[in-house]
Amino acid sequence: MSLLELDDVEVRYGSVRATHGISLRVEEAETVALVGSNGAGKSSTLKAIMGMAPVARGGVRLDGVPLNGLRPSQVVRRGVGYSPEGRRVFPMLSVLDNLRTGAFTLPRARFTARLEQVYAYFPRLKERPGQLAGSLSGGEQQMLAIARALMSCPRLFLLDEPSLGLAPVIVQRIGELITEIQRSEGLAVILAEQNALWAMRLAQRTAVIDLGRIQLEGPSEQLRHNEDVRRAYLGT
Amino acid sequence: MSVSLLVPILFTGVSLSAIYILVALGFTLVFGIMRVVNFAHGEFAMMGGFALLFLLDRLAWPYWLALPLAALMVGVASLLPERFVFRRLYGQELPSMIAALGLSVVLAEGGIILFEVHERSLPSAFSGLIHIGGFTFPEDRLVVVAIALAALAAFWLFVRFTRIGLALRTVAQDREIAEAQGIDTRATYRVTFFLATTLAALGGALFAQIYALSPLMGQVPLMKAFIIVIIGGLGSVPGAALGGVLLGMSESFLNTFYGASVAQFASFGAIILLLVLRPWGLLGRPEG
Repeated sequence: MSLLELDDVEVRYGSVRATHGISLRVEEAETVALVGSNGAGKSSTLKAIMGMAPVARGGVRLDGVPLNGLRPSQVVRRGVGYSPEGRRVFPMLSVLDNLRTGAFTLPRARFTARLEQVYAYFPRLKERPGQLAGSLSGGEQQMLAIARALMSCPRLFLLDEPSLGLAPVIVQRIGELITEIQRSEGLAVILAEQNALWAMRLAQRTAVIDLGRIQLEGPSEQLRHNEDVRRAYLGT
Repeated sequence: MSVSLLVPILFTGVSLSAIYILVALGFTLVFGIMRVVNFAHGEFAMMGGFALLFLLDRLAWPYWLALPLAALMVGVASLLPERFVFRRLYGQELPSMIAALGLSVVLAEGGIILFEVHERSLPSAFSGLIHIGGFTFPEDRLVVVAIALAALAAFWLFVRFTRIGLALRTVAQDREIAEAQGIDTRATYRVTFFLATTLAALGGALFAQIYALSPLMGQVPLMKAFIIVIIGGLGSVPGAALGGVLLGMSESFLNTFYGASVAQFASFGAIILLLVLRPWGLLGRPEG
């Protein structure tokens, strides 16, 4: 049994189908890149796992237990962390309060220890706990969005477009952090990215999504060197 | 203007402001967090007045016990419409507004069926006069001001320093992401509604004490709340405080020198002007 299993998941907003039947397995402590162009269905797939998108057909299971019908806060309680596209930190709250909002499902006694662990990955956040999140730079906001989701001690971490709109040097730093966090926490990560080549370097396995379906799946290394894949999906 | 005239006017202004803010705070909170314009808000204020009458008159409870309990009773009772009416309509501004309008009529007419339409007065808990520095203040008004200020301070501390308060601020900024970070937004809505109606009931009970109690009295606090949140910006808590002070003070001044009609004329005139020139209010933010 895999940590996460998606079976033929169709997300439908009214009459618009965002995914046409996504099937995907994610094992423990594995990073999977979900790559594809804008509107291919990456975000909808992550939202389906979180219970944030209407699932019209198919099932999502964590440890073999169905997540269908749960509210997002209940999915978080089961061990899934979510860093949304566009970061969406709470702009009017301080850095520390943002981190507190990620810890509502964590037993109170564990908060301080967890905060120190998360601060250890992001020393820049530790330096400015009182600063309003809205006044942070884009890269810092992305780090805060990741840190906030980590506060709940997830086993599965969903990262939606963490490289979006950031300078290359920052993107590289975020990539190093994702790898470091994944290794030391033993996390399973799904990395949904338009920046496919970057995501594939971070992930052991890659699934290429297009027109709401997974078109191709395999070890990132193989896909990266496959000429047809590069031409058809990666735009190089 | 002499000081002997100024001090009583300011004092009346402060007591009006305090009550207005109590009522407007819950109104703006429910809009800011749930996107619901709660037209029934004034009826919860009215229910606070009747709950206080019941506890004081029928059960002969002491005032200090009866007042907070009356407010809490209304808060708890309001969880029923929260569960069965509002919860389905959160985030849908027009349907929720119309449902709230319906609820307002149901509650007001229900009050008429139960208590009849006439105005009555609450038994006065305090009737003495207090002399401070050459000025005389009616005791009951001082009590009203003290209670309203204490409730506002408690509310601020709660929102600023508790875990539930943090959840509230989070949901007000981005409901979808708050839920996706593990915050039970449904429970947060329930708490918000409870707080809002409890504050309204407290404001209504104090209002009924100073003026009069009737099933139709809810319209006045609702109108005041509307003016205040339009002045301050709908959904803004500091805006409700600022709006409450501006309205309370200007009413007190205008009432004294020009009479109630001029006071009403001026406050609604100011609203129209504000809506034309700055529709998002003094402390609100423009949409979009």
